[in-house]
Parts: sequence; structure tokens; C-alpha cells
Amino acid sequence: MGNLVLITFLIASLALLPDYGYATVRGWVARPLPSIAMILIMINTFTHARMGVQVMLEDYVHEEGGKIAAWLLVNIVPFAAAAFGILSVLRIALGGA
Amino acid sequence: MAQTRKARPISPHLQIWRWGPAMLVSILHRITGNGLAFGGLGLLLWWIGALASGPEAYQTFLDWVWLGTGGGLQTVTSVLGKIVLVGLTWAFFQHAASGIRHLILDIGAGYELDTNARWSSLTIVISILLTIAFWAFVLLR
Repeated sequence: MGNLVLITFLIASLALLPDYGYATVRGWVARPLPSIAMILIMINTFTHARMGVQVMLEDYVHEEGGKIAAWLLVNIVPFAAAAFGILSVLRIALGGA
Repeated sequence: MAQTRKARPISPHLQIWRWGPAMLVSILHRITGNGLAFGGLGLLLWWIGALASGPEAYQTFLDWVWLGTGGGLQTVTSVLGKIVLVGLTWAFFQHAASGIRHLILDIGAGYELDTNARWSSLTIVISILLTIAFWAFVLLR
């Protein structure tokens, strides 16, 4: 539900940018509201994706080895990915020019 | 876990049913969701990571995904990148429309056969129209 608002905000904002050069796009992310939205996106999309992918894997992966791989994927990747995303947003938001 | 596996009763599977809109939208929800999870979030991380790293990394992202400035393999990936980005926006709109339909189903409405088929079909119409509208706006303004 939050993703409906957050991703709509993201793609509408990107669509409205005057150009897609480095300064413009980074400048947009660095603003307070977009920074907060991007951090929330990193939390909310990866939480949502983790649950959805888990349900998909439960339906299709039946062998023991596959289940272990699926467990590792679902319990490690989304957290590492979200952490990388949040750190990137913070670097942009707090890093000055 | 360790018990011996007996032959399980087999239920009729996909190929035996006549396809209807609700079945199509159901499997599209899973396909678009997983496409967004792996493709969409992967690209999102590349994009935000490149933006955080600096102008060169961001230019590399643009070259590979959209511009193809460097030639060679980028000529191919920049075409694929456009297809993927258009596909991802469609996947988002389809997954969102289907998700809203699920919210409505969750409150107990829309289970009559004709209503269910109509709203299923409408999610597809809506997602295609929104995708066209979005890219028309981005590319033509």
C-alpha cells in the first residue's frame, strides 16, 4: 500500500524532471522530501519484495537444497540490498555537492 | 521431512482449465511482482548507487541502460534497457492495479463471476493505457 504512494511519487517526480543529467537527478534526490521518500522506498519495496518472492519460492521450490538456497536468498539479499540503497541515499542527501 | 514419498494425488493443473481473465491477472500479478523485485529493484540500486558514487558512475549507468554512447555491447544493452524500463513501468501499473483489485476482493466485494471477470480485464486495460500515457508524457513533452 505504501509502495503505491511511494513509487507513484518516484516515477511522477522523475517524469517531471527537466533533464536526466547528473546534477539535476542528484539534486532532486538530495532534497528533503525525495530523500525521505527514497529511504522509505528502500525499506518498503524490499520488505514487500521479500514477502512476495518468499511466497513464489514456497510454491515452486521443493527440493531440500533449493529450499536452503531460497532461505539464504530471502533472508540475506533484501536486507543487504536495502542497506546499500539507504546508504546511497544518505550519501547523496548529506554529502553536499 | 524424512518420511518416504508416496505417490500423491494429482489435481488438474493449468493446461486443463479454459483460461479466463482472473487466471491471467493472477499469474500476471506474480510475474510482474517478481520482475519488479529482481529487475526493478536491481536497476533501482544500480541507479541510486551510481548517483551516490559520482558523475562517471552515473554516466556509465546512462550509457549502458539508455544512451549506448560507448558503442559496442552498449548499442545492444541500451535497446534492451529501453525495453526493460518500459516493461517495468507496465509491470508496476499492472501489479498496482491488480493489487488494488485484491484490496477490494479482501473487503468481500467483486466475487460475482461477471464482475470478477470485468475488473480482471480492466486491470490489463488500465495498465496498458497508463504505460502508454506515462511514456508519451516523458518522451513527447
